[in-house]
Amino acid sequence: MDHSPILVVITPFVGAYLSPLLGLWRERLCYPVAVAAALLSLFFSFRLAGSVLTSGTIRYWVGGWEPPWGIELVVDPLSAFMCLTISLVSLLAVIYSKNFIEKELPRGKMTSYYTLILLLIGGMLGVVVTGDLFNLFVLTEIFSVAAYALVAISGKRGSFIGSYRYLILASIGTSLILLGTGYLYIITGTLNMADLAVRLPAFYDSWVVFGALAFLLIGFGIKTALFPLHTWLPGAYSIAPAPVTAIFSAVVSKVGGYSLIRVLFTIFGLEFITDLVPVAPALTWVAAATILVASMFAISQTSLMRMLAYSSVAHIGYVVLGVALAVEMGMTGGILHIFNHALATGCLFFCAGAVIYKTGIRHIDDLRGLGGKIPLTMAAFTLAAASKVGIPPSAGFVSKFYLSLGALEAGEWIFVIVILLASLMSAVFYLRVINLIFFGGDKHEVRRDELPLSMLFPIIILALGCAVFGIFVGIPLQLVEPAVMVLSEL
Amino acid sequence: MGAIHPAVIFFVGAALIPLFKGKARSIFVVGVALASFIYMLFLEPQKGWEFSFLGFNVVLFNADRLSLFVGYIFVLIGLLIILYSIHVKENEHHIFSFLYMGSSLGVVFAGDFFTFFIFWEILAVTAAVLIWLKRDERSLGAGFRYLIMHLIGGGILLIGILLHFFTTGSMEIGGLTGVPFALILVGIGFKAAFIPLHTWLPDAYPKASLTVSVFLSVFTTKAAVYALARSFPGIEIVAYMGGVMALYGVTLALLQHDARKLLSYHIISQVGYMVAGVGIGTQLGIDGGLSHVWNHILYKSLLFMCIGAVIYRTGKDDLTELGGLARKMPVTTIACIIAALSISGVPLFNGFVSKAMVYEAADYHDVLYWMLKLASVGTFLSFCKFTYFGFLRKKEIEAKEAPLTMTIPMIIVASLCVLGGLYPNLLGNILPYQSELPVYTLGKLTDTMLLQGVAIAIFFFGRQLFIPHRREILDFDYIYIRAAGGFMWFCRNPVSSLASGMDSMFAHLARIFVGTARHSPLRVLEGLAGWMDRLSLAAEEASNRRVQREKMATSEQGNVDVKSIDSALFLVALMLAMFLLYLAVKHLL
Repeated sequence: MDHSPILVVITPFVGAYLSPLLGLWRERLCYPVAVAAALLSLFFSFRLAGSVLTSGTIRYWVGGWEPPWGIELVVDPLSAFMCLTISLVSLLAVIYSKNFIEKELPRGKMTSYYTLILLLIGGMLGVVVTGDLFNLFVLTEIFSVAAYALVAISGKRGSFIGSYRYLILASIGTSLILLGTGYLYIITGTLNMADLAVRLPAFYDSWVVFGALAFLLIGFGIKTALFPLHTWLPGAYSIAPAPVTAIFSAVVSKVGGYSLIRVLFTIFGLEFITDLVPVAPALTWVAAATILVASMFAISQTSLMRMLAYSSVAHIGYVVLGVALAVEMGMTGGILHIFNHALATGCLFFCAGAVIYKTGIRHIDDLRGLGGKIPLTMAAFTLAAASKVGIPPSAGFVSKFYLSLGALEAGEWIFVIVILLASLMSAVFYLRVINLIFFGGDKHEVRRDELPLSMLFPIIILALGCAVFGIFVGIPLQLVEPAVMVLSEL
Repeated sequence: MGAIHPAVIFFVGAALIPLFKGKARSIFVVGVALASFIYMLFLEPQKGWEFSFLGFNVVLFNADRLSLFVGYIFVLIGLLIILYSIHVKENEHHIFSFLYMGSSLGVVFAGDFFTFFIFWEILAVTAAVLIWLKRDERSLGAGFRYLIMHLIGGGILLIGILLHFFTTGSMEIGGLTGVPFALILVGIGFKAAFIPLHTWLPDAYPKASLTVSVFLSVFTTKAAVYALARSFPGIEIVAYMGGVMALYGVTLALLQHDARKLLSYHIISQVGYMVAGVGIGTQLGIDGGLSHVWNHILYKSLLFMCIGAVIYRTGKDDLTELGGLARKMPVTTIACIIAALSISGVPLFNGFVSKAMVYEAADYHDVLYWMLKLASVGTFLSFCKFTYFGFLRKKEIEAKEAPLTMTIPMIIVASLCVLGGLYPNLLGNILPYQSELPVYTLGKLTDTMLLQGVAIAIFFFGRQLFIPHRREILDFDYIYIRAAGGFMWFCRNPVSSLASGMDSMFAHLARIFVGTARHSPLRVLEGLAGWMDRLSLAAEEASNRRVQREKMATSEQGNVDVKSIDSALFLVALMLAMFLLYLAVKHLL
């Protein structure tokens, strides 16, 4: 039997146990442990994806215990897709951390940093492979707690407040999730998602079910940072160390989105959320509002990190919009955008971190002429920004193209205009930055001073990804298309 | 797979440019352009590079007579302009000019709307980068506006394409009706400089560097004309738009003092002729429009090359400061006069030939015919102004003849202009419909001569009227810039203050909410209320909000600092409360 489903989760956790032990002895050993753990889980993710593609959905019983008693892990194409995205971005972020952390964090924090980041990775991977609603809650808590600590880890002014705010809001979210889970358990007597999906139709007219749905929606809505509930995000993002922020915006919020998809499609089912209770149409409007408002907020920012943070709020909106359209093209676009946006936003935050690392600059106006100083990094920034704006043939364009097709397929042409408007707005604020970087100052005044390789490598990989997956769309689609099939059948 | 797509030559060339330095790079750059030119000569009409994607066929390479015709002139002039711009040291310039030309070929050979759109967007982006390469404030702003306009146009085009795909289920170019028809027309209109979507053109072209404006004058608008010829032949509204463009462009051109801005408005005006020809849509009309594309590319790039050479030697591009160049830069001056005669449609020069074809095609549209005729008088007048004040009038100026790398391409293009005029049916073989019109008939000659005589007379007697003055001429972009500025202001001010206003309001409401909960008989809630109260107090204290606000107000940072806890808590509580209330009411009923 293939143990990849549990191995992919366990590896980072084992790393998280090893790293403090080794850290007591030699602090420097934590880095290789973290890299090795992340690399291994990437490897297992690939194996998972491979076996999902060949043999369909995998059901894995931890310890051989059958579902009602034991823990069931269910890996369908969507889970495998998320696993790959999470472990890829996490691996790159861990690699990136080496030099950044040595410079930006106070002494003695290295051990806890790597431990926490491994916990974060493990938690997220757990969320996406589990087949049990309660496990999903527990793992959400695990990665959230790690996330709170990571926001605060730099110990700088404001980091505690940012972390505190994030903690309060996210705890409200998780408690709502717990409530919703409890409601569902009370009425159906099971926590297994597949079981829930089978038993729930009998209770479709029960108010308890509606209550559970509402709690789960708001709870995961907070985790996903949908529009009125996004307020924790920019603060937390601009304070956390750059590699952590990259993980946050690339995958943490997407894991929230993933849970939302699971709740909506796997547990409640397509029919319930579109016909019986029109949750999905409501969500599309929320997502559209998220996209527009966050883009407008991003325009008005003066700090690079905050601008990127708002921009990533907008892009989570795209993901939710696509999925909530509940048509094939839209869902393909939304899920594909999880991956494409992870590449782009990860790269952008890495670049913003690189700027902080090299120069300490946080304000957009000070970026003048950096194109001469760190040209490769800034070229990567430009590529990723192009992908976020959706300029063809970048990866971002493809997913926006699918989204637009999906909106038309659903007969909601208004969302096409929303996508177009938001893309234009993002063109405005990214172009401003790119302009300043490359054409703003005298090129010859600055000396070229490139980043250390451990930071440059992840940036280049992600930027190339933005370009390559715009042309070779078929590669991510191999997983996305079956994922959509599985979701819409249920 | 078939033959290699000609754009690939340019894209690969662009990727290889950084490997070369100095002389080797110059040779390489010219070599690539030459290779593409020779390659193009041997291309047969064909279809290739097809892929299936999303349920439609993506045809990257579709060469028929129409696209080959435009392709020929693109690679021919590309070669000459690259030769002209060989003195530029920056690698980026050559890389992006290659990408720019490559994507214009991509547009021309696109076999479906999807491919077409992708190259259409790359064309806009690379052009904007070329403009930015001048690296001064003016070009930064202009390139920015250029790109935003083109992205808006591209977006409209994309929506049109998607709708078209959805209604017909096919991505093939053509067969447009209804809403997609209008959207795609407007989208292409952005690039074809339809009035009033033309403002990017006179805004950006004069502000780019002297070599870049030569590139820009050739490819962008002509790619759009090609697109019109392919998807909108024979649409009356397009034809009349052509007439409006011809007149509007020439009118504003007459008022300009900046030499390159004058030429830019003439691009609009001349593109008007092409659009008119295409819009008339008869075989002669399309052939006329397309041969005007060919001729226009020659003489317009020649004009930009001449003024570029002048800028290169004198550093001036303002007609108020120029003059006296006939002795100092004789080759440039002669080239410029040839180009001016061509654009004005004087017999024996190539402009005359293609204009005659368009006039002939427009014969049954009286209004259009006279619009175009009137525009040609204006053209003649403004080129009298251009050559007289820019080159011929007596004035002391420091200058010497342009270097050989500039003069040689200019001489070649000038001779092509004359050649096209002397042998009017030279293009007949490669035109899509192979129209051959006997242009040197008595009627046409007297007609033209008469109008041009009038124009000369006006210029001769009213020369005072045409003396260039420095003044600001308002165009539609004034409105656009004000509107965009308004939007940015809206984002920076009301949206920001809305965010913080909403925030403080939420704080107040939360307090009221907590207060009512405390004094209500619902004692159960008290624990929660007290907890929330303490929490928001603690949060407020911790975040040191008042001080922070003051700091923000004094340092005028535009940060939207949305205070999270109060508002979020309140929202969640509100949702919960409403939900509970709803449940209770439902239960009672």
